Amino acid sequence: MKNLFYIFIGIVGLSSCKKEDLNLVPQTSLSSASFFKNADQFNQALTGCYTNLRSVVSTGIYMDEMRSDNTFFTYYSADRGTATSTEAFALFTDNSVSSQNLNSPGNRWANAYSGIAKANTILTRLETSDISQKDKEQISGEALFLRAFYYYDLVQHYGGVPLQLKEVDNVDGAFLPKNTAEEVYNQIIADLNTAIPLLPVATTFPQSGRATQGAAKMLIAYTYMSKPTKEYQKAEAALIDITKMNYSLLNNYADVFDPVNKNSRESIFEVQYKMGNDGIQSDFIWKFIPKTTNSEAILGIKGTNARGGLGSGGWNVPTQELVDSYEPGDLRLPASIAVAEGIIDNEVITTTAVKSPVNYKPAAGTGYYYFIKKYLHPPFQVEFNTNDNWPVFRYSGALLLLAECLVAEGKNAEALQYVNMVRTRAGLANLSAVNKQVVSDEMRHELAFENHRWTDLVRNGLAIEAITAKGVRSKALYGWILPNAFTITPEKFIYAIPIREIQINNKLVQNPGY
Amino acid sequence: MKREILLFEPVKSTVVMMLMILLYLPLQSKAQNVITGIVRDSESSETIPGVTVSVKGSGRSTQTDTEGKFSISATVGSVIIFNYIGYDPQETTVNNNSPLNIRLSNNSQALKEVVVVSYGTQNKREVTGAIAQLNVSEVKDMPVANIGQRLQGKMAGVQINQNSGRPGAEMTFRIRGAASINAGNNPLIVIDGFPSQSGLQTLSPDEIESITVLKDAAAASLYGSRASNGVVLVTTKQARVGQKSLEFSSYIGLQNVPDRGKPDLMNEQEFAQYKKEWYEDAAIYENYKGGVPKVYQNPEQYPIGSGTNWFDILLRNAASQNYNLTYSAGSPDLKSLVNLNYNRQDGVMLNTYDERFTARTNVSYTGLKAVTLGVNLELSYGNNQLPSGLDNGRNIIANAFLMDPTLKYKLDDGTHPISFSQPGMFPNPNYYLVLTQRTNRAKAARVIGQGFAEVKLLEGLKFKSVINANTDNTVFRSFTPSTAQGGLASAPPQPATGSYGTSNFLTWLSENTLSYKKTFGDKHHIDVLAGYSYQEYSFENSTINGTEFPDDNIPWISAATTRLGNVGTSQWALISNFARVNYNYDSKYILSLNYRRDGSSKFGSNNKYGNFPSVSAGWVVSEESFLKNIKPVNFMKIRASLGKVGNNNIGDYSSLASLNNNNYTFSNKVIPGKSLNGIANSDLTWETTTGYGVGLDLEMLDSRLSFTYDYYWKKTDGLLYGIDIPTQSGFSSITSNIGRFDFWGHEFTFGSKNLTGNLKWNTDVTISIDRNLVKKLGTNDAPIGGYTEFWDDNRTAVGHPIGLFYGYINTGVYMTQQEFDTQPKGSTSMVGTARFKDVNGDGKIDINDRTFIGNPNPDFVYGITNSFSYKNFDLSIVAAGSVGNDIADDSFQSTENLDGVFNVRKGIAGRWRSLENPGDGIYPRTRSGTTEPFRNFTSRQVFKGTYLAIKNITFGYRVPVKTNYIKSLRTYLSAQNAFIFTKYPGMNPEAGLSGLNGLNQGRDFTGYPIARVFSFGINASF
Repeated sequence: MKNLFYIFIGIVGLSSCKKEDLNLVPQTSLSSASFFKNADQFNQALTGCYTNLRSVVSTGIYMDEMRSDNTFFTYYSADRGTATSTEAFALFTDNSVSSQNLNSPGNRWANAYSGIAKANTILTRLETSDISQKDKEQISGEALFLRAFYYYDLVQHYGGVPLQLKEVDNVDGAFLPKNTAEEVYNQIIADLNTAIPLLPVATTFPQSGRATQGAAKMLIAYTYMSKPTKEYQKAEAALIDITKMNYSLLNNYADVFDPVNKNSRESIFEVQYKMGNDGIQSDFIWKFIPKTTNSEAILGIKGTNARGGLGSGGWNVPTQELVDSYEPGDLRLPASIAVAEGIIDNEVITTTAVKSPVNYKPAAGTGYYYFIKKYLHPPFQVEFNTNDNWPVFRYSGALLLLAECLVAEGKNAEALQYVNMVRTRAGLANLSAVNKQVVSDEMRHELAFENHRWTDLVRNGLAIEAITAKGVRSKALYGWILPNAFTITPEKFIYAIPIREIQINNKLVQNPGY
Repeated sequence: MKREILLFEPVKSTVVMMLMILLYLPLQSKAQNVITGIVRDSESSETIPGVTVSVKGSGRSTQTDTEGKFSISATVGSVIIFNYIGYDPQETTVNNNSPLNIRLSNNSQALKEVVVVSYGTQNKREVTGAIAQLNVSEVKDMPVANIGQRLQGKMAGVQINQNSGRPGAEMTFRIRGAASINAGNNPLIVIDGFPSQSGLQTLSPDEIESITVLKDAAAASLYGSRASNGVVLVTTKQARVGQKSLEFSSYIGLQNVPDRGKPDLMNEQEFAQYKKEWYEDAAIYENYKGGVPKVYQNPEQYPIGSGTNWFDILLRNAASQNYNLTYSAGSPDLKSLVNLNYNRQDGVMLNTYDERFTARTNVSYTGLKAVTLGVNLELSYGNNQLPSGLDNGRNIIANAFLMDPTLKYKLDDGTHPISFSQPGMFPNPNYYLVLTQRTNRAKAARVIGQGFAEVKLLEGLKFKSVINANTDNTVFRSFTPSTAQGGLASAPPQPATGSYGTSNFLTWLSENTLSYKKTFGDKHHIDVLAGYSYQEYSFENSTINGTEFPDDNIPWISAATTRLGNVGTSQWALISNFARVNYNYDSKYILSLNYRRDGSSKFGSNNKYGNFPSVSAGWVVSEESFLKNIKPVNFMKIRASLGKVGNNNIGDYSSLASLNNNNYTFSNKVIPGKSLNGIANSDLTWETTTGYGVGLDLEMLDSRLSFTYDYYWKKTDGLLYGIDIPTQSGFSSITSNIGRFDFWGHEFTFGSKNLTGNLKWNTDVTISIDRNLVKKLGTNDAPIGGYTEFWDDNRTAVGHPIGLFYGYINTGVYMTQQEFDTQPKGSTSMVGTARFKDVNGDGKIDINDRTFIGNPNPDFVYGITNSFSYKNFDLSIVAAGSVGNDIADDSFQSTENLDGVFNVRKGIAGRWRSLENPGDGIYPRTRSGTTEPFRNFTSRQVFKGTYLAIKNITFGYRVPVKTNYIKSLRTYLSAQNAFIFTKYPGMNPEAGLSGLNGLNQGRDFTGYPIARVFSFGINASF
């Protein structure tokens, strides 16, 4: 019996020798425990932090440009499903559900916070890292800029949001309540003020595409001018600094957007894309041209963009009112907008010609759609795969923001020179005086389709007027628009927090009006 | 002479008999005769080799030979006893020298049966956990490729559903209502003691001897961290001593899809009329100026049959076939069995099939003293063609039937258009071409093998060492030509695409056990088992995608201009110790203790090990003196159990946050970037299920009636799942252990031999009642599911049963201006639009007005099997069903779309069109921008799911054979999925988007249709 007992024990005891077999880690990827060990790895994480910029662009197309008076969309009666929550942004019928659905699940809210989490992870882990001081400064400078950028994106579109400033390493850290908008703006300013001395000034062109001191100053200027208590003097100082950096306007407006001139002297910050099989291409133009049976007539390559949802064309379509608002001779009109002319059947166009919108009259028996031309740079090899970067901050924008700032301070005369610099390049005559409306109009044309118009209207207090007028025009054109569309109140200046977030985090309170 | 004796009084007769015996004894010994005969199975008439034949009181005995024959010397008047395991003993008095024709009746239904349990077998009388066992011979005639289909309705507490009619589709199991969140609720499948990775579909049903389901923790806890969803033990056939047989069986079936439940959509003319009216209304209400498109101006031009029934053109009558050959031979030293099987099922949808060849050999050798060696080896080859997009979702079938029925899929000249684009509808491919031209092949070679050695160390003490391995190598290849590319809203021609990939896994298990069995002092029986095992699993896969094919001519990616590939791999390991002690006193009081300790690589560094104990006890009341005299009760046992099991079915590395590639570009170059894919959780550990159960086994009236009852209660704690967390954390979920579900239920099994004469009639009934309640979810009790307004139907929320349907309550249509003005409205409501209940009473309709609108959990599920036999004829009818559950039909989101983009249900003809013509109050108007709420998930899409399905009817005939070459021959006709009785309007009340997964149960989203199969089969033994 005793022997039996030992044999049993012996068998049970066999287990102890193999414990290390239980520590298995994925072989095709690294785990968090083994990462963040050296500057190279921190830099890889930092690179990852930049990728969220792309969704800021793709959501901004609908939530910043199409919501403004610049663009609308081409109604596609077949798609009353996936498209409707996106159309809601332009129609001001959006709610917490449409907030959720846009590019779901990569909605704007989640995307910005994902970028913030990446920055927070880098910043938190840098604190205890022993990499060199120089590397630390470079990495934390860029990470702070990006965190500020994503918080600016949030506060502009959702108002006061929870301030997550540390890496979330347990569940409880995910359930913070909202901060006020003022607190968020102050955090952005604090981050940028820390980042600015750490970031380099752009000296060689083309630039790499990384964050620079110029970009941070541009962002801080926007922040000072957008926050509830404006600080124009500080904004002016930051923008004046930018004029003393190495930036200048390119000679030809259309060249600014050509991928050949990526990250040029005029570029302060742009979102980087690259055509090819690496998964980092852009596809803006495929969404902007009309749904067409023959994309080759516009793009030089056959592809399918007549389907419905966000994978199709007919989005962000310039309004007639915008086309009409350009001054005669403005070179920016033909550089920014084109006309697809052809036979429209079933809301889909078979394109026969691509024409300039300047003094455009459709040929007999044809229909036409406007489309954004800024991002049309063939040749293409594969459908939905283009090389165009997206401009975020440009030097001309900095000049006009400076003009806006000076006008707001009552220094209209000082503003004039900056407006005229931009007008000259656009082929327009100098003005002799400027006011808020003039600067705003100039900005509208200069920065059209760069996802600035909606926040510019809100910042300048012009949104209600502009959107109400757009509503009247649109309803006259399109009988299908519901009577309650284009009902705009100050509550609509920011969006609804996505329904999922409200349901999961009971500390979040929905924005008023939603 | 005997007759006379019986006429006397008992006491006297005894005396007389003793006298007679004394007198005759010397005479008898002189009249010794050789008695010959043959022993057969009373039901199958097959001869039984190896039966012990003995003359009572003489000490003489022999065994029947391989043909069931025997010869033994005995005197007239002596009694011969026939004994064989699994059969009732029989006694016969020798009257003369004529050969004896003995028919032994199988007692496999009786509780004396030996059943398969964790790590061994056990006398059914002594089982104290909750198990259900089915011998496959009872269901051998069902013409189905998957053993699961044969088990439906047969075992209480085991719900098995056929969610899909796809050839080769696995059945889904749910044992005792098990539900988990991420960890799934599939039971552990153990094949001949090996928790292998290949599913039941790998095996041919013909090679399986029995299926045992371990339902409670007491029965299953020896499988520890993988047992919480129950364990299915599959035992394959082994040869028996003295057996030598060759059996052939085959069936050929014809499958077709019944019309019942196909969506009730408009025909050509109805649809054209609807489209015409749609445009007319747009002109009135939306200032639409385009006029009615030409193709819809004259609906009369489309008589029925002029266009296409898009559902039916995808279907066909298809064959299914099965051939099985079993050779078995057993001597006392060597037992070997070889089973060969070929099965092919052509799908009822065009261009689909699944075929499987399996070869199994099971050999054991006991020729050495004290050592038994054995090998069980299965080779299986599978080959199928299943175009992607066949099953659930808005896929090939659903997209096809949403097409305009006036279109012709095939033109009069016999050609097929490759795309369609109707006014106001999405461009679409021709789904006939999509189905018939897409290649998606998978070829799998699988091996499940084990070798073992068992050494008898001392009397009662055995050591057993087993090595198991299971590997699967699958190669898959797909090609979609330019003409079959695309889908809804994406019409061909589009560039062809193709792929080629491989996936393989290997899992091996080394297991060493010691067992000791001893009886002390006659009444104390002890049976002890202890063991150690180590299992490892590794998986690798690769895929190469090809794009930019120059044309459609070469369906291999070698022709593609661009080829992009990727690989993946994962591993896990499991170290376990386990032990069991069974004790019984005089077969009356039974106690069983089980324990397993598992260490798993899947869990966080702080929690790699888990302990899973259980205890169960039984009391055989019928052995007690007070019950022994109550004749009608043959057997009665009361059982109770308590135990804990776990679930480790999460990703292999869920406790770790790993880094995803997250590349960006600087200076127009690709720069590698990385980002964390989640929040690490080093505390991640087992999900455990702890529960207790009580049960009763009863046999009455000479075992003609049997009854088993079980009650269970269990809680699943520390639910493993990705808790939804606010995305402000940067992530949408964290895999964690927070959550608790409670389950309880009752199970009833009745068996009755209603008639036992020439006409035999047996009835077996199982009833399972399962209940559950959600007690805790995550740190914040945030519900799971139901966040979006359609196709997210189930919500699992604290305080409710799992997976309730969550949506709006449709209350009709705002029929008048007055109704519209006075009732709560949504942001897009108008007169004539759909109306909903203002659940929260805030005077407006929005997403906060959704509520629980249905329960997919049945009140009970049941199975009824009736079998009859009369002389050479037999008939069995298997029925199964469910009562009280709701089903959500997700196709309504599309088939009640009022935007004119899809074909729709006929009822939409009665929609609201104007105040003067307000329709039937069910269907709202088509005003654009107002239609979406109507097709969101609402009470309209929830239906009663109660059903009774006649799963199988088999009528068999045993052909009398007179040749020496054929021992027995039986033929049968069978109808599988014969009838279904239900008010559910869809096709398959067992449909399930995610099987029987509790969190998403009850969702019917246009699965692959289930065929009715008529088949003819034969079983022959040589």
